[in-house]
Formats: sequence, structure tokens, C-alpha cells
Amino acid sequence: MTIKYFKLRTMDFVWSIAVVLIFLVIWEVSVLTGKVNSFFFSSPSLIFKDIVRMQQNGDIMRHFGITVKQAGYGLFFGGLLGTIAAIMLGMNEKLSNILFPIMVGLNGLPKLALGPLLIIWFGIGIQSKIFMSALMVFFPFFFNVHAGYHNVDISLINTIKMMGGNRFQILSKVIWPSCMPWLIVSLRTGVGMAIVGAIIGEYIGSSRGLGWMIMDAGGTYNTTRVLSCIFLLTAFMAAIDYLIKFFEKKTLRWRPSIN
Amino acid sequence: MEAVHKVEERSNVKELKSKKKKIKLSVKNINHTFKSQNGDMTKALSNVSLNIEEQGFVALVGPSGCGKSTLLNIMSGLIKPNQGQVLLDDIPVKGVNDRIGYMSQADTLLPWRNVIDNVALGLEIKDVSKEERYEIAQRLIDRVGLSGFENSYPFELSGGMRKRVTLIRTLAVDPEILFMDEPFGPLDCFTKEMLQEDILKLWQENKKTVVYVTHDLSEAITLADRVVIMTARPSIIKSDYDIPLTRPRSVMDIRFNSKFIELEKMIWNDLKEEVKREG
Repeated sequence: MTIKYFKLRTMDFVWSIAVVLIFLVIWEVSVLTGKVNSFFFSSPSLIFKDIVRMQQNGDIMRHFGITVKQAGYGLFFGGLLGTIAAIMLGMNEKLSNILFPIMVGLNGLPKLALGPLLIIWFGIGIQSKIFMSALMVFFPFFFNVHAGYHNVDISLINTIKMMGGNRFQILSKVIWPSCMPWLIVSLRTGVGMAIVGAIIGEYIGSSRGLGWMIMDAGGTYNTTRVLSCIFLLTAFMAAIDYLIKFFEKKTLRWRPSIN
Repeated sequence: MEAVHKVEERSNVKELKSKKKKIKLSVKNINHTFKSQNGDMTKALSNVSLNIEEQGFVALVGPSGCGKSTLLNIMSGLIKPNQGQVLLDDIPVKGVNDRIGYMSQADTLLPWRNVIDNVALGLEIKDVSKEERYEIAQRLIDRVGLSGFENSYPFELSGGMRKRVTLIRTLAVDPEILFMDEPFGPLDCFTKEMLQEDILKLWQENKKTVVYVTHDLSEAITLADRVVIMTARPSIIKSDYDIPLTRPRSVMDIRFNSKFIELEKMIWNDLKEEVKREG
């Protein structure tokens, strides 16, 4: 049964690739036959060549590397702080009553608008991007884990209490594992947010990174370069999501799967 | 070693029989009133007193909503009564107490732990070493026929198996008293009987003081030494029956025993009035 299932999943994957390939072929053919202007829309072959060139002259490592690094730090700090804040508010009802509405308000404000301030505070270096990225990641983690905390089965907590468990044991044996699915959901949204945060940061003021590259290429009407960057990002995100899914399968073995 | 132990046990039994049995848990003049959600006050328990002997198996029976579970929660220290007190070995119970094992109707297995880690949970909380807790857990798992399922997660088990795991998890920490609140409520009758058989077997091997709440009279007579009937709200203890059926008992056969039928008839007549009153 598992083998059959695996084969099915493999077929699905092949189909996904096929859909992308068909799209690329239509695009390429449209450009070659002159139906679409490559100045505005570039073409898959141009993008491929551009990526190879970037790889050879080290642009990918230099620009892509820095963006991923910023997003990585942002994800780490934003995720960690969001999770800690959610658990602290969960454990203290008074604190939650006071701070939760403030959190909702803060989440509502457009983070992009903070950009110029971040540059003033942290400069155009890596810190302002990490801060922007962490800010974007903080809220999905906070709200997800907060929801997870309030979803904990109270009878499981009582079970631990009846066995003489202390607060820390309740946290580590019930609350933490039961927040795990919510944490993984946060991780999946968080990765995207982290990248967006880093790129927005670079748009606003920088001299390096994928965001800077996109802005720079856009300014010189270099559609191929813009699309190369977007393609790299997409591929990267797909790979990361695949990794998280794998991790999810391992960690959430205890949950009945929908299939 | 084994033989000496047995002789000792036998002399103990004699001693217990000659003297009066030691009182393990004593409930004294409990009054308890609830505030329901619309603000009304509901009197749940009225002047309830009950003595439970060491190694006794007592069943609390009454119409649904009569406050059996409330009494159990008070005895276990989960709820503080408005009036009265509970004595465990002559010492007042204050708050939850890990000398008491509690098994409720709810499914309280941790879904992210496999069977053996669930069974070992209480021992883990008590900081028992990993080897020792796995050894104890494994022995209990084998005892109730769950060998081979050690690494299964709760969602992979049937309802009856999950209850078995919950039961041995409660027993793993070797509590002095066992409280069971309609533990097999939602199960079908065949599975229920299998589990009752397990309880009798485990209890026969290692006699604990048991308080068993149920609304199923024949279950109560099958398992217990003593059946205590509670009335509809506000609950008082209406009557108290000794069940002199011989042990070890067989859940499957005992219901055809003429003495069993006689007892059930007698107690049912008593209970009937309460059920009518409640309805």
C-alpha cells in the first residue's frame, strides 16, 4: 500500500513538473514566433542564460546569499520571539488581556511604512533587513502559537496535574507538543514572510541582495534579470517548503493523515 | 522469598478478617453547591459521609447528574468542598494528591506519545529512570495483551485498546487508591466486558482501594465488594450494599449466578425510585 501511495505521489510530482514545462515551452515559442515581445516579457532561454552568467560571475552567491542570510536571521529571531511571546501570554491571563489587543493593533500597521525609520535607526546594512524580516515573521508565529496554546486539551493538562506534574512539566509534556502543528504552520508561512521582509528591506535602501538586484534591473528595463531573480526565489521557496514538509512528516507522525 | 511473602500475606488476611478493616479514605459531612452558568445555585451534595476500607472495591451508583463525579472530584482534591472534609489515612486531603490514581471517561492519552511512552508518563513525571519506567510499562503492556503495540500512536488503536492503555498508565505509578469515573462509558458492551475482566484480573493481583463511579448497576455488582446508591440532586447516600459474591469472579458468567440476579433485583428496586424522581 505504501509503495502504491509513493508511486502515486511520484506521479503527481511528475505532473507538476510537466505543467511548468508546458508553460515554459508556450512562453518560449510565443517569443520565438514574435507573438510576445522579449523586451517586456523576456523568455525562458534568456533567463536560463542569465542565471548561468550570474552563477559564473559569482552574483548568485553574493546577492542571493546575503538575502537568504538576512531572511534566515529574521526567521530565527522573529520566530523565536513570536513563540516566546505567545507562550508567555498564554501562561499569564492578565498579561494576555493587556497585551493581546496591542499585538492585534501592531499587526495591523503596514510594516512597509516602517522602512525609512528602520534605515534611520539601523543604517543600510544587514541589521535593518534582519529587523524588517523578523518583524514580518513575528506576527504569524505569535498568532499561530497563541491559537495553538488556547487549543490545548484541558483534560490532558489535568491528567498531568493529577499525576503530580508541575508547571514546567505541563509546558514540556502537553503544551509544547500540542503547539507543534501550529508551529510548523507558522514555519511554512514564516519562511515566505522572512524572504519578503528581507527583500522589502533591500528595496528601501541597500547596495546588495536580491531585492537590490531586482530594483537595479528594473531601473534599467532589464526584464530578464528581474525574472531571473524571481525564478531563483521561487525555486528556493519550493525547495524549502519541501524540506519543511519532510520535517512535518517526521515530527507529526502521531497525527492521523487525511489520506 | 515468594513463599514467605505469601505466608505473610495470608496472616495479614486473617488479621484483617478478625479485626475490622482499616479505613483508607473517609468522607465526612460533605456539602457542596455549584453556581451554574446562569447564576443559579445548584446543591450537588448534601451531608455525604462515606468510609472506604483499605483494599476495598466500592462502586458509587446513581442516576446521571446526581453528583457522583463531583464527589469523586472532591475526594481526589480537584474540587474543594464548601463544607466537610476528606481524610486519606486520617490526614485531610488538600489539593491534588499523587497517591491517588484517577481515570476519567475522557480520552486522556497524549496523542503525540506512543503506547509505551504514554504508559510511562506518570513515572516520567516522578523522575523514575528511563530503564525502570520502560520495564514497568512493558510488564503492564504484556499483562493486558498489548504486546507489539508499544510503538503505536493512540490514533492507531481501537477504543478498547486506548482504554487499556489509559488503565495501565494509571496503574503504572502504583497509586494507593484508584478512582474511576465511568471509565468505559462510551465503549460497546463486548469491549466493556473485556476491560472489566482486565480490571478484575489486575485488582486480584494487586489489591488497591478502588472507588468506581458508574450508572450501570450490573457493572457495579460485577466488580465491587460494596455498592453505594446515591440519590438525585441534592445527592445523599441512600443505601449501601455489601456484595458477597465470591472472588475471583468472571464477568462473562457472573450475571447468570442466582445470587447476582437476586442482588441486582433488590438494588434495582431501590434505585428505580431515584431514576423516576430524576426523570
